[in-house]
Amino acid sequence: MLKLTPNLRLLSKHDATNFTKFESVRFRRRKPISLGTAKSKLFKIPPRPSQSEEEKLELQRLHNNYRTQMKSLRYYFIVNHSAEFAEASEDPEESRRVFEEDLKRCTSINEKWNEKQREIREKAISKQQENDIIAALEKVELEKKKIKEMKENIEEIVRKEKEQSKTFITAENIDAAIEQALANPVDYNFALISSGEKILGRDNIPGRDKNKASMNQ
Amino acid sequence: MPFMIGRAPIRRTIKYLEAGKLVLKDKIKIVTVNYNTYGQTHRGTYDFVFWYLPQIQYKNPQVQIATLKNMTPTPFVRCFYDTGEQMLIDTYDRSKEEIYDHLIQVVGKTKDVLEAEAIAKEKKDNPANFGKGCERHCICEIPGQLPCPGICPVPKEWRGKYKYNKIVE
Repeated sequence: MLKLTPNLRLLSKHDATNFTKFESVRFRRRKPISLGTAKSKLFKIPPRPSQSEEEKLELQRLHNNYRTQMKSLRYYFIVNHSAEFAEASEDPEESRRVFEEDLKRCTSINEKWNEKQREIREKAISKQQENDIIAALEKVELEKKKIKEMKENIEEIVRKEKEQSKTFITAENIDAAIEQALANPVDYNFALISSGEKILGRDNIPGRDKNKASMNQ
Repeated sequence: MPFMIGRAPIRRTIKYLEAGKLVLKDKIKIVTVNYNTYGQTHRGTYDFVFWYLPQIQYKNPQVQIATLKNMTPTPFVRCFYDTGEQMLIDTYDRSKEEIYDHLIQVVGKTKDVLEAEAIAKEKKDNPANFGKGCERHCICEIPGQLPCPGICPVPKEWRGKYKYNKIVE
C-alpha cells in the first residue's frame, strides 16, 4: 500500500481515478512525549524568529484591512438577513414614542414609591435622632452622678486624713516622740503553748498599757 | 464550583433560575445595586441580591449587573437605559419581595409583552425543521425516513467504499 501523506494512504497502486481510493490513517507514528528531548538536541537553542519592522507594519496593515472588511461584511449580513433586525425595522419614531410613554408611566409609579420611601426614611431618621438625644442625656446624667460620687469619696478620704493628722509626728514634737519611744521599748516576741494560747512578750508587752506604747508608732 | 458547596446552592439550579419573573425591558443595559452588608435597613436589599440577582442575571444575560457594597448610607437600585435615561429606585427598609415586585412593575416587561414574545418565538419554529434547538434532533426520528448510518448501517451497495473499490467479502 502506498502512503501519500502522513495521514492519507492510497488503497490501490494502479487506479487513482477518484478519491474513494484513499483511506485515512488514524494514528500517525510518532515518538511518545514521555521519551523527552533527544540527547543531541538537548542544548540546542533555536534562533529567535526575527521580523523586520517594515514587514511587521505591512502585515499589520493587511490584517487590519482584512478585519475591517470582514467586520463590515458580517454587519451587512446581520442587518440584511437576521430575523432579529427584520422585526425591529419598524418606524423608529413610533418605537421612540412608545418607549417614552412607557418610561413616563413607569417613572410616575416609581416617583410615588420613592416619595413614600422618603417619608419612611425621614420618619426613621428623626426617631433615631430622638433616641440618640435621650441616650446622650442619660449618659450625661450618669457621668454627673459618677463625678459626684467620686468627689464625695475624695472628701471622705481627706476628712479621715485630717483627723489622723492630729497624731502625726511633726518637726515640733519629734524630740518628744523619740524620747517617748526610747523610754518605752516594745517587745513583739511571743511564745505558743501546746493548747494554742499565745503568750506575749518578755519584758514589755504591747497593748497591756496603752499609754506606754502606741501601735501607731 | 462543585454543586452542593456554598451557601444556598439551590440558587444555582436551573429550576430555580428559570423561575425568575423579572425580564428587563430591552432598552435597559446596566443595573447597579448599592447597599451595605450591615444595618437593618439594608437587610432587604442584601437578601434581594442574595436570592433574586442570580435569577435576574439568568433571565437577562445581555444586561450588566453590578453591586456596589458599603459605599452608601441608604440602599438603592439604579437602571440605565441605552437612551441615556436612568431609573433610580429607593429600597430603604424594604423586604426583598417588595423590591422584586416593584422592579417587575417598573423596569420589567409586562405580562402581555412576555406572552406575545413567547408566541412569536414559537411561531418562528417550523415543525419541519430538525437539528439543534428544534423539536427533533435528526430527520431519522420520523417514521419512514432512513435511519442514521451511525445507528443502522446503510446497505453495502450504497456505500462508495464497496461500490467503487469492488471489495468482495
